[in-house]
Amino acid sequence: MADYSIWVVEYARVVEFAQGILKYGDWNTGTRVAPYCYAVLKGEGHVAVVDTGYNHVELGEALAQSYGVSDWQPPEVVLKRIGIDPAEVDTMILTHNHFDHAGGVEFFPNAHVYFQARELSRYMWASGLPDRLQWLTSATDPDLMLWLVNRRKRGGLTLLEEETEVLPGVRCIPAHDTHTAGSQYVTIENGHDGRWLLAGDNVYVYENFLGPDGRFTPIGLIFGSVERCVLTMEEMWQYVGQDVSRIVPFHEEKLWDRFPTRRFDDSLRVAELSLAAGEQSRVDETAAVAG
Amino acid sequence: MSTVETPAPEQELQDLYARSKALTLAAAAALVLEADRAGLAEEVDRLLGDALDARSRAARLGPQLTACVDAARDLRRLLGGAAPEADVDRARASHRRLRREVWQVLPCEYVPCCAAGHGPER
Repeated sequence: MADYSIWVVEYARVVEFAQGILKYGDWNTGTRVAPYCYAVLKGEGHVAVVDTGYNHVELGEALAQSYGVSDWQPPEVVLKRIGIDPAEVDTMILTHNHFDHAGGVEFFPNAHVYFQARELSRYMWASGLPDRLQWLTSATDPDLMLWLVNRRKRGGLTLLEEETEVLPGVRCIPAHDTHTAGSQYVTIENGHDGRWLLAGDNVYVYENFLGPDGRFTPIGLIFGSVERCVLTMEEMWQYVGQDVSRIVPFHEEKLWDRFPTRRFDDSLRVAELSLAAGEQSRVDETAAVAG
Repeated sequence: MSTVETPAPEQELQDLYARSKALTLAAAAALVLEADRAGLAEEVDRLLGDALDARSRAARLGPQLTACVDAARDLRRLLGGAAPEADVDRARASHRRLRREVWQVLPCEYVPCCAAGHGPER
């Protein structure tokens, strides 16, 4: 069975993120800290990222200012903390096409990209609708799409349409018409410690699962269907055997409490979810790898 | 004698930018998906004509309307042939320049940016 080390790296954060976006219905209940993260897998001769963060120039900088994003660091800084150079990354899975998840693709020049075809085809459809309906495309920018054109020309892009194993034990699962038209999440069957699920933005925080009444509550920013969001949460929940600690939301501040974590001088953190045999901890401050 | 009303330059720019962005998004998706692009090319021809017309009439917003023209021209080139990497890069650069110029005079249109704003107030 395949075996991976798994880290979640924080590359920025929003100090005042509206609760109502993180959890549907929490309107006018204030704000909380929301980290901006992506995941790194290492094992089976591969280094993979699930999402990429964004580049803090032009569109990225503008959107970051708008959302109140602070403390941004590029992959060369945050990946160095786990002993990885961005050029070593050979696999990139994009959960969806929003700037804070797919806006950093150019940082990984050698990665083969896995992306849902539907994320493209629905944007192509929506962009042909009257201007009054362009809210549907207003969270994306053509620049990433054009980057994908060239990556495909070089043979570095695979468009997915169904559940697909992209690395041994690592599967991309379509979550269509949820947070976005062509979202996906990622499952890992890990040899030494079982199942993990990287949620993308199909859930933002653990509270989406763990409401006080025992009911799921979806995220508050949905371009697809609320029903599909809730049913996708059920799919995730069943995959991990109802153990929510095996689901990894990328905007969840509680990650740092649930997993061994190291905080660096710039206040950003790395959580170590799983260590494959023979790998050294990157969050043990007595270890030499992290910088 | 009838008069033809022309839209305010900012409104015309906003319309041109929205069309440019939608067509660039559709063109890029079509190229990746290897879908038919003939209809898009005709739309871009119309966009280019309208952008040239707007620029020729405009007393203001010259840099923004020139960026519209350049973006439409580069997008048309991209749709016209085999879309070599250099043409893709040129279209990317033109789109980014257009976005930058537009945000000098119009609010950002991204969700949920429209509620916060890093550009001029609506």
